[in-house]
Amino acid sequence: MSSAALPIVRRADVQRELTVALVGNPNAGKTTLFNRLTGLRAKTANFPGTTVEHRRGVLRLADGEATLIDLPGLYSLDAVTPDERVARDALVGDLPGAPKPAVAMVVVDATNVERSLFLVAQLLELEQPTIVALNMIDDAQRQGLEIDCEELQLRLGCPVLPVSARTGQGVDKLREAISRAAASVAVAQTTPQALRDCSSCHQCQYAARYDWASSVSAAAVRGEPIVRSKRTEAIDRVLTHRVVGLLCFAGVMALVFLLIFWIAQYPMGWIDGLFGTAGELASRWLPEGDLQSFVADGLIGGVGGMLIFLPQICLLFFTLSLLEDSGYLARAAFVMDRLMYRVGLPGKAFVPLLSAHACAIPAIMSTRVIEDRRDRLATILVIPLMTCSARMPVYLLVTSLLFPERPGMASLAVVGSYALGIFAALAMAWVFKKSLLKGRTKPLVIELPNYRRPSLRNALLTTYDRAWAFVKNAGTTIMVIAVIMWALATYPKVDPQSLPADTQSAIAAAEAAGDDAAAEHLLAQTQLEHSFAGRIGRGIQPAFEPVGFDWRMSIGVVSSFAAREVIVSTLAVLYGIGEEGADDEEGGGARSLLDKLRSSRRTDGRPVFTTATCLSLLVFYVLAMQCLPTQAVTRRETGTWKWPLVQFGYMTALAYTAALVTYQTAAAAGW
Amino acid sequence: MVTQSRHFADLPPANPVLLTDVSAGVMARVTEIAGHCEDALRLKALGVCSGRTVQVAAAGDPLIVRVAGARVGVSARLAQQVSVVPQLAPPAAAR
Repeated sequence: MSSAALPIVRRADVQRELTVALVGNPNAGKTTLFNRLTGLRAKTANFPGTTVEHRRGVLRLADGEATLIDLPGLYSLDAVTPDERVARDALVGDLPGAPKPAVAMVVVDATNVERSLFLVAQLLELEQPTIVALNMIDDAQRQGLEIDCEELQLRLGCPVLPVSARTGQGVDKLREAISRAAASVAVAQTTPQALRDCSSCHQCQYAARYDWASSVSAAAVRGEPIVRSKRTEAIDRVLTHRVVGLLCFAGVMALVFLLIFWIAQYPMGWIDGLFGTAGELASRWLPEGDLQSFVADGLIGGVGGMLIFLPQICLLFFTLSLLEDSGYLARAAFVMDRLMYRVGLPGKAFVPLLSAHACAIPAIMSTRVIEDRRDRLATILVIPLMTCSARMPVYLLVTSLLFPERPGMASLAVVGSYALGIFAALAMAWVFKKSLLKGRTKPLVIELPNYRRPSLRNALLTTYDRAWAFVKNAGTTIMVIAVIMWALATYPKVDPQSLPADTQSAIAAAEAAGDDAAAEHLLAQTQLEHSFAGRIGRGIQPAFEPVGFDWRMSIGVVSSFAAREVIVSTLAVLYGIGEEGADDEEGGGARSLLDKLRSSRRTDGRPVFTTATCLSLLVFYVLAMQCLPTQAVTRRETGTWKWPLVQFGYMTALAYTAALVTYQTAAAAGW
Repeated sequence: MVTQSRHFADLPPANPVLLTDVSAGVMARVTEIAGHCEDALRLKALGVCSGRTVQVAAAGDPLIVRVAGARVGVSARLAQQVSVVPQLAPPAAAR
């Protein structure tokens, strides 16, 4: 075949390159329409070189396929916020690596045409092929609105298609219109004359566009959407009330959290059981040795330790998505704004901060709603100070050490730890907004959309999307971390022959007494002591001496560097009761760990876990970072390693200083 | 709570006041938005721009304005930058 032969271009190849951009106001039902048009095959990605996210999916047309790009929801194309800048660049083809879309499809809320037409005006001024999807047409009709699509089409100079993304009504016609618009690229879009006239006679372009929007809306829409907005206003008199609104918000959030923790415990139990069984099977089938330990403890243990938080993460995204879709989340930001302003954060930061009490990872991912970069960074930096569920095992261990036989005091200490986390987060946010991230807190400007029934389908798709992002992005990092942490705790191997004589004889004595478990625990303990993690722990122990940690706790701090809850199992191994002893409650394992800890003595005979040491350990674990997956997500959301490093640095310094003050004060008081 | 004792019917119609000084239910024509910062642009993009009419749905901080058929929550700090002339027409007659 000669290379000069003309390439055969199949029609499908040409069609595949076709991209359609979806634009619209935040509450116009853009996401629902996107989901309706693309189904499950959508992917979430950042625009190249930015942290602005978008979704892209395959749009099936009658004569081929196109890529549908869901641009961020926005009110204007003025390029003020990063979202607006990226959306504008993407539309005009200025974004490197992203082809200019053949068609811009703008979603207009049929129940409020006037508001949406402002954005339509800006799009028409770009003079690119444009289609208007008049969404929620069924809602508008139900409210007695009559919309003359012919008139609208005439005045806008582009196709107008009435659709209902929720029911699917009119979506086929919309697909046809997209095909037609894509085929007739040669026909240039022009700015409507009326809009042009309007813009030239006015000083303020915004007013000009809105005047044009009013006139078009007045000509094409008959009736007022009274029913729903009256209902919304009635509800809002309660929910945005300065006192009652706050109480309602507290109630809603308490309910959400109860639901999350209550429902999540079941799948968390299953996952725990599943990975436990998998670990056991791996231990049984694989020959004893490094490979067995690597697969059972490193891989399965590491991945299980991450996936166990997945149910909480999913439930959190699911409920937040429902609340967002119903319109309530805008009210939450509204009522919290005045309070949050005192620490320099916007009202929108509150829900992410609260979500952090389940897990910092979804909380950091949900800070995307905060428009201002500095406000968002400050929120991300302080989120890990909130007490996440991984801190619970540590709190429980230390508070039962502090208050044996006094569960009332122990639970009070847990509550105190939560309070300390919240206080530290708010205080640090204030400090950051006064120093590193100096700047005025963005004043609140938020649309309060009409309340509506949230879409279950949207919520499920969002949850799936977010959960997948967590597994894919955090998951790969976590795998690597799990393997590294496993290697640090496993190597170098100790040769039983080279152990000190007294250790050898202790192991031999246990074996002779027929207590294989004790011998095994003793060996595991020695192994961990001599591993890299053990050596690092022993090496840095002098640094932890002033905060009252002995060498075992120092090893615990090192081994739980990637995941804070690991300290419990590390202490269990180091105190010679075996890893399974830490969470084997029915068998009295937790009790035996507590007894061991309580009775342990330093070389000079003083008890290790004095009240001062326990308080210091508790304060340290409230404030220390000790979670690498969170850091990986911070890296992803901020786009650089600088912020996770700042986060790690300040939290470690804060935790150390606070533990130091706690220990020295308590020790001086003779506790 | 911002208590509003002034009656706008007593004022000459051309006298601009701050958006934060308008009581709930009153329609007002925007005359000026001080400053050209991002926040002012955000307000303008939502329809709070000179020459357009807005209605205060709920006073306070943050307050709620009804503009272009939508309800928008605005913090009082920002609303103070907006000068308006209250309209004398009763709210029921206006769109």
